[in-house]
Amino acid sequence: MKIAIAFATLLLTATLAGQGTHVFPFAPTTATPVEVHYLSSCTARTHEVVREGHEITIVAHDRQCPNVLPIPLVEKVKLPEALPAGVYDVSILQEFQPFFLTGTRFVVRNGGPKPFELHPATVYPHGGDPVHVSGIACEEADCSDVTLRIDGQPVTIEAADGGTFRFTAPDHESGLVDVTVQKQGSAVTSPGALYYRHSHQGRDLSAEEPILLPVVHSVDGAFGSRWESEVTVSNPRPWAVDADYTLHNIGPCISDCDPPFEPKSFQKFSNGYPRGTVMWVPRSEAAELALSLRTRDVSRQQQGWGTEVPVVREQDFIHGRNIRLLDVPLDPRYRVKVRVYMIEPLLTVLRSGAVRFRRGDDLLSIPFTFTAATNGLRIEPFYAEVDLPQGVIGERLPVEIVLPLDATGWAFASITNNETQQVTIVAPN
Amino acid sequence: MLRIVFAVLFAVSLAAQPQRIVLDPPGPTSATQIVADLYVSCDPLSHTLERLGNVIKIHVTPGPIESLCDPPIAVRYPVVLGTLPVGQYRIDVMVGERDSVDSKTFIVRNAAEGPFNVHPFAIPTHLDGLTVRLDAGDLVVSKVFVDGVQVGLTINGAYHFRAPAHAPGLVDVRIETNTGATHTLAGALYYYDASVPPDTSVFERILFPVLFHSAGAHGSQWVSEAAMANAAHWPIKAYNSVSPFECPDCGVGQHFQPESYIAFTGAGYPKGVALLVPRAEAENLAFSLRVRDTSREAEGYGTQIPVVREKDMFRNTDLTLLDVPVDPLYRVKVRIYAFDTGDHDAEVTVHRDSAPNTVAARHFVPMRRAPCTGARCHGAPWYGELDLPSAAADDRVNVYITLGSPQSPAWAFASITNNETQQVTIVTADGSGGRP
Repeated sequence: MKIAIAFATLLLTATLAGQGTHVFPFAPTTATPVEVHYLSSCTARTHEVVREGHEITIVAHDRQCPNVLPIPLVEKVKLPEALPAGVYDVSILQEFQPFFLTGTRFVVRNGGPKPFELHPATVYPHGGDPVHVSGIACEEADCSDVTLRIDGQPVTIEAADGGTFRFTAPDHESGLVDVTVQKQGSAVTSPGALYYRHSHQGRDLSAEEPILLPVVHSVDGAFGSRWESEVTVSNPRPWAVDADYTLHNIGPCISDCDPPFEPKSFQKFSNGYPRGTVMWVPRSEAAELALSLRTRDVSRQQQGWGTEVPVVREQDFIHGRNIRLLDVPLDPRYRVKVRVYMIEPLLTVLRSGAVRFRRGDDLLSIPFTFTAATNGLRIEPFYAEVDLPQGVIGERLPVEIVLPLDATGWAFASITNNETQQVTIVAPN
Repeated sequence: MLRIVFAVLFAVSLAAQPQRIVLDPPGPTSATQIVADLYVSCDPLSHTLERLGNVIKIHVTPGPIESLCDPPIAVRYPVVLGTLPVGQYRIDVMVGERDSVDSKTFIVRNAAEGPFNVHPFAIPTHLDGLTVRLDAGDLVVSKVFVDGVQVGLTINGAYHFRAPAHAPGLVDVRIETNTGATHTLAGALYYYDASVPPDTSVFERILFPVLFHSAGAHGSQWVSEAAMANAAHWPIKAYNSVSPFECPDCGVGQHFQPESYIAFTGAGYPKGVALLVPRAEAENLAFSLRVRDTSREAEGYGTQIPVVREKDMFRNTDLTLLDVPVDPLYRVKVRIYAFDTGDHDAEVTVHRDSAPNTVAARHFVPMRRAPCTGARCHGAPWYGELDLPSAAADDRVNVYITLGSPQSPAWAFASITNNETQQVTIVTADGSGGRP
């Protein structure tokens, strides 16, 4: 009974904190089916989905709840129709009871062809953000041949580099707005092209894409090794990219701690996040940034250029199932560490996982618990690491990583030769 | 007359670039909005769309003469098809007054939640004993029919049946429960003929960039060590095979037993090969690949080479390799891969770290496909490689690659090999922003 009360309290707390409900994909478009995941202790036999405008209600029918020990589980509800562009509120209700179980807000962007692109495509309601327009070029030097309207209201534009023009986003209430460009008598409208985010909302997965840099450090290691990471970020575009990150912020920082990536810029970083860091990049720009990450034992730098560590983009994260690493050695000539990362958990208190592998007839399981960011910021992922035991020479096997309920995660194994300090990475595919 | 010229230009470029219609997403389902990206010369003006049963006719009106085609570079012209019901479709594209200038057939898979489901989706037409798993939740299934033909049922945790022989195409599966109720899953199985080219809306190309073993410089002995795992509770059949061994009773194509794991030493594909796996099952498969100098086996476990899924390949953009050393300590080779293209030269530009927005060197790299016959050709990428010239100690460059046709799925990496220790580091392509 105490456990039941505890779990009910947990659910209520999660609901109040805005957790416990996710929409997948994180940033749905009109081209993608939407699935709503919510945390529950009961299984509903069916779900009824009712949409009235931008309000979606999911009613859980005939819920089967365990009498004694409630076990948290995830209910997944596919919305039956593709949604038009807009901001939606989804609520989960229990049948016959006006009892609000949980809910969330999400944005559906236009996934079809666009007559032009905005950079960024998300701004704050108070206005003032610079926005570049690509895909339509001005013919006149002062762009007098082009007019642009935000939600029907004209805004001032000016020519910019690379065949683009730019404007300053005006004030507007939160939500999606249409943008119209008129040139030489013909006008094209991109519906819902600009999203005014909700300023009170701390995170907005529809606006920003996570990019994980799994290890950014400068540390001494075993056998006299000195490990250094090198991150390169390239913004090849003629507009700045204002990402949420703090790679600059290694030491004391008072202002401009995470300045935008300037147009056509290259920057290198090398320290501060041994447990990885997440850059949150505006979705309209994330794909165009190029990144690389390498780690290297600089005490032996004559021996090699180091090891590339994957830069993990949103599409590379593994969601709702186990992560598999194939062909991992347990050979005693190597030390093997499995590093596991989690972002945007359904419920932050669900942090337990395990590394599992089979040796002969034995299924071995090494439990781990994710630790949260040291300062609670989103730029640090939930992190865990497990040292695998040593086996016999030549022994290799597949390793499976079990994540918490419905988690979004990634993992890799680093295999370090005890003599040479050569590092091999085994990443999931 | 101009329209005829335009149509001829389109047809000429068509011959050089066989894939002129690209679907987004590449493996559509009944729940996904489908966009057909047409690669048409010279900025089309407009189009009309007509659907006659399972044939979709797109008529493209060419743009004005001023913007015509010098040279005739194909531009992406997206046409929204919307969502389509389960079925096999054909798109016919017409430009101007010319009759069909390009066609593409594709499959729309069933994404509807039903009372039961079956796996795997793709079944070869020849009988090879492929077992299909049927999950029906709480339903008690008494009979199963594949396109109206009853099949024998076994129960082992779930229901299983042997896929009967059938002609190519989508077929429905119907079940009858112990209460007499019947349920049908439309387009539940897709039969394919492995002797004809695969439908790329059904099969995804998964690129193994190097599968080989050979002697290298300085006494090195290079091997590729690969592993593949199937986490699904059902067997999966690939269109082709990349491992050196075959299941003797399993017919053509890589056969993945349920919940299986195989590791092998790669051979025969130094310029890469794609394994064509059913898109419906691709998420259940895991892969790994490493290259290793076995003459120095005691020094390290080798270097992981990514196994590249289609989502990790690049289209409509240049490829970017950042932070590549050109220090004489190393030899650096850039390897480039592309599908759905023809023989052409890729343009590679090298930008020094000290002046990253300026082209320091330009190279043209022949992209060719390794000689192949039959099914092997469908997995063979167009491949090119370039040895980057060395510069001064500690010099680094960024490398940008432009492929011949923008719609080609492409990928690239640089291998950086220390001349003394033979340690290999790789730099893989990232970002779709292209050159600065």
